[in-house]
Order: sequence, then C-alpha cells, then structure tokens
Amino acid sequence: MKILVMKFGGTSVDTPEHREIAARKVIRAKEDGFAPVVVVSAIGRRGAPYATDTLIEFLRSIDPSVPPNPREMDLMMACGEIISTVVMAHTLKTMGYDAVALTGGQAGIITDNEYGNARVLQIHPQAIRHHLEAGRIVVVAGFQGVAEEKMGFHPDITTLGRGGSDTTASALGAALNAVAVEIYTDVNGVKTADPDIIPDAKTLPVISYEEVAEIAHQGAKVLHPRAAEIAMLHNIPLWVKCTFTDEPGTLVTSSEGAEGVELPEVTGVTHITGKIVYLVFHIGEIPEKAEIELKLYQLMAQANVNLYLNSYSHDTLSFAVPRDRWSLVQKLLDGLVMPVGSPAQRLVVFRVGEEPSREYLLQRQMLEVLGKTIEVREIAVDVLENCTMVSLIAAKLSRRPGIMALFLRTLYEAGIPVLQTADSEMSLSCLVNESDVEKAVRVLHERFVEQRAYAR
Amino acid sequence: MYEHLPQPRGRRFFIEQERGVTDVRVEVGLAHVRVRTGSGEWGLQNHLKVLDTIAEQGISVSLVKIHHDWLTFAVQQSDVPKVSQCLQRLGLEYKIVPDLALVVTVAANMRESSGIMAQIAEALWEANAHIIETGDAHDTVQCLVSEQRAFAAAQALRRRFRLGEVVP
Repeated sequence: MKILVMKFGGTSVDTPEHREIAARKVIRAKEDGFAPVVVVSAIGRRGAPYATDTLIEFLRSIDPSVPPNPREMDLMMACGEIISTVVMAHTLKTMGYDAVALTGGQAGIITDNEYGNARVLQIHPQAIRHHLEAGRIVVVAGFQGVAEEKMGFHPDITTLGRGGSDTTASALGAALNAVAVEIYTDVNGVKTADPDIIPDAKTLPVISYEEVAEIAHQGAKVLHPRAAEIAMLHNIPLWVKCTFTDEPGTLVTSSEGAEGVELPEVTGVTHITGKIVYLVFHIGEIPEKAEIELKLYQLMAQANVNLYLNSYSHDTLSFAVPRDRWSLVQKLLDGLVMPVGSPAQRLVVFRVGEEPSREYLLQRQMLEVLGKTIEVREIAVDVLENCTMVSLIAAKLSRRPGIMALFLRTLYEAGIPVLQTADSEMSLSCLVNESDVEKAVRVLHERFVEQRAYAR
Repeated sequence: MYEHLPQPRGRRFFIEQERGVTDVRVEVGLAHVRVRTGSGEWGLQNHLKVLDTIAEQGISVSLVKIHHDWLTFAVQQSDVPKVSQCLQRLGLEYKIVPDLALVVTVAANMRESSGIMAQIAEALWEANAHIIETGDAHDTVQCLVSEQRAFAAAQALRRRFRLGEVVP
C-alpha cells in the first residue's frame, strides 16, 4: 500500500470551491493508486467562524481578565480542526468516495502533556491502517493529539502549537512509512523571499530539510520547522505545493539532494515579522562583569523572556528580546539595584534609555545614603526599539571567505544601518530597523539570488 | 511518481526529537580578534576594509559582531599570523586573544526556550570558563571560552543538561 499524506491549510478549505479543488487532488491521488491520508487545518483565518483564533477569542471574551485553563483552551482549539475534518470527509463522500474523519486521538497520535505546545511522542496507526485497507480515504484533524493516559483516566486532548497541522502531517508520514508528505498551501512552493516584498521571487525546485527548517525558523511561513525536522529524522520526502495550481512545487529532501537536481547555493532571504528590542548594557571593564551578565540572564529566565543575538565585548553585553515582552523587561531593569561581588562590594543600578525615568531617579536618590559606605555604579542600557532580523540562508556559502563583507557592503551601500550581525553554518543575519526591512530584503535578494554576486 | 525518491527507514518509537538540550560539543583552535574601527561612516568603511583584507587571504571569519567603536570576530588559530599582518597593514588598533575554543550547546528550538542561556551561563560560571563571545542560532548556542577551560565547561554543561560525558 503506497500511503500518501496530503495536508491542506486553512485557506485551502475555507470555501466550498476551495474544498472541492482540494478534494479533487485527493481523489486524483486515490485514482493514481495511492492510499491518501488527508490532514486538514481549521477552516479559514481569524474572523472565520471556526478558525482557531476565532475560537480562542470567543473563549477569552467571556472575561478577558481571567485566562482560560490551558486544558480547556486545548479542547476549544481542537474543535476547529475536528469541524474541518468532518466537512472534508463529507465533501469526499458527496463526490462518491468513501471517507472517514478521525480526531488526532482517534488517529492514534500520542503527545506529552504540555497543553498548547505538545510534542508528538508516538503514533498508534492501527485505526488509520484499518480504514485504508477497507479502501477509505482517511481524513485526520491536524494540530492535535491526546496526552499519554494517566492513572486510568481517559486521556486529555492536546494541541501541538503554531503550525501544528504541518507537524501532524509529517508525524503521520513517519508513522505510516508514507511514500511522501505533501503540504498544500496558497503559494506554489518554497520561495527565495516573501512574495509580498519580492513579487517575482523564484520557487525553489528542491531544498534540504536543514535549509527549510532554517528559513522557517528565520521567519518564512511556508512550512513549520517542526514538520521539516520530523521529516528529516525519518527521511520522509516532503513536498510543498499549491492547492490551486498543478505546478510541481518544492521537494524537501536530504542535503544530498534528489536524483538529477542540485540544491541551491543560496536558498533565499527571510525576515522575521515580529519586532525585536535590542539592548546594550554598558557594564564597563570591571571584575564583576561576568557576574552581572549571569545575573541578567537569570533575571530574564525567571521572567520567562527568550533572548537572542547575545553579544559580548570587553565592556558591554547585548541581547535582543521580543517586542511583546519589552514592557515587562523595561519594568524589571529600569532602576534595578544589583549587589555584586562576594561579599557584596558594590551596587550597580541600571538606567534604561537616554532620559532617566522617575523609577531610576527614586532608586538613585535612596542609594545616595549608601554611597558613603559602598560603591554605587550606574549601568546605562541603550535601547534600540522596533528592530527586526533579516537573514540570508546560504548553507554552502556562509563560511566562505568574504561573504560577510559582501553581505554588509550590500546593506551599507543601500544606506541601511546594521545594528548587529549573527552568523551560523546555515545563514548570515543582521538586525536592522523595522523601517529598513523591505529594502534590506530587496537588496540582498537582488545581489545574492538574482545577480549571484558571490559567484567567482 | 515517487519511486525515485529515497525510501523511509521505517517507523521509530519516538516521532519527534526530545525537548531541550541534546548535545554539547567542543571545537578547539580558535582566536578572537577585536579591531578598533571607529564609529559612523568611518567605522562602516573600516568594517568592510577589515573583512575584505582578511577575505583576500582566504581566511574565513565567524561570530562577527558590531560594537560601537569595534568590530570583533573569531578566526582559526592557524590564521592568526596572516590576520595580524593584514591588520598591521591597515594601521588599525587591534587585539587578538589566542587559544580559545567554542563550546556548542545543541537544543531543539532554542529561540522558543527561555532560560537556556541562563543555564549555560551558570554552568560556565561554575566551570570558571569566562565567556568571551557568544553566537546563537535556532538550534545552538555557541560560547567562545579559553581552550584551557573548554572541556571543564562542556562537562559542566553535560551535567547541567543530564547528558553523557564529553569525550576530548
């Protein structure tokens, strides 16, 4: 039995016409001799009656000051995919094909018990196999599973987090030894840049698992990185295709590539849509610098704030925090008094931003009395708000001599200030002002993808 | 249609990779370079001059960071003499710290896991390994430390994240 997993996103199933187009693709696969397992997302996007965000907002609207219990929130969110599954299975039946709808739990998807962001532990695919052997098309609700059974209680429904339906598709592909997993969306494959910025961005015919995971982590929205990681772990060929065309799409495969196709030198240019706040702590060349850095990391961890773009110099520490955590971080840092040295030999007090705040001035005033007995030192914190990260994904190039110079020159020549850089085996990234993002994507795409200016 | 593609290896018990840190590696033989480039337009031109001149020698750089007055990066220890010559030719003030190693912590979805950096910094602090520079990607945090303390740092990280012993 040649099992083919076909996943359709929310915009592929949001109208009767779109559902019919998706169903015809499934029927064609069935007619071609495959046993299709269809995974669907909730119908439509925010505002559509059964979209995940609509269901979340509905629950929260009962009393915005009381956060819903995560277990109940997962139950609520899972409804969107269950409705979509039933609708798709019924659509297939109306077109003359026997189909069955399964929830994630009924499909045998077992997860850990982290509500809202569960990880797939194992899959018991007996029910899916039973229906496939009976000749049925199986439609599985994406984005959900059930937690491991505890103390004999019937297991709870869990959801897999953002992009969870892609994860479901890849996980089912792995568990069922599928010949391939096809992810259907509203673009015709993985692009070299966001088509909203570069309308004629190319569609890549083939890309490696590592590269697609990298571009997804760096902001591209075409495929969730977890889906790529599962496919890579189990060596399942993954395709990204368009629901509304018959174009071949993009094959995601191992870094050796597939027969007759070579992986690109430059995969593309990505950008993160969420804003970032970049902080530079002017600690100074003092013996307690490492201790202050450690305490700052501990403070951010206690506040559950993710840090990235960490950078050190002989007298500073810098890192970035997500924009939506900035007000919390600002409250924690501004006027913060930290004893350092063992036993405490000095106090450091943090001043955030150019203008001292009332909180800082009050703290400073209270510390004045101590100034005679213990040294009080100020640490100024520069704040660069509304930044974002633009990345060049180029696994074959990122360590080539001269590539960072070309990357920076491209941005400098376009008059784009680069606030910080990051580099890895897979990519070169820069932090730029939000207002420069589109320009940065355009000039990097032009130089590295269109002109291939790195070529020797 | 799909016959020519690599075939799957078969079903495994665990479908997804475990959460959190999965490995700690050490890469030795590195040096850290700090060049005073100045700031403003002059600084930008100097960034390019430094990186171009070093690239002309066929030298690869990593952990490139831009600071107010400085540009910093890491190179292979074996490239230090050539890097020194380049920077002397440019007439820029610089400092090279040799005998460093990169301690690489590998984790799934690092950027969505708060607190990993704090745990890494705590482990390195316990191992008396001072962080000279860091780099982070979605699946790794790289810390540049003295080569002398690198294996102690890796052991401390492995203990912290309950991994097996590191093999030098």
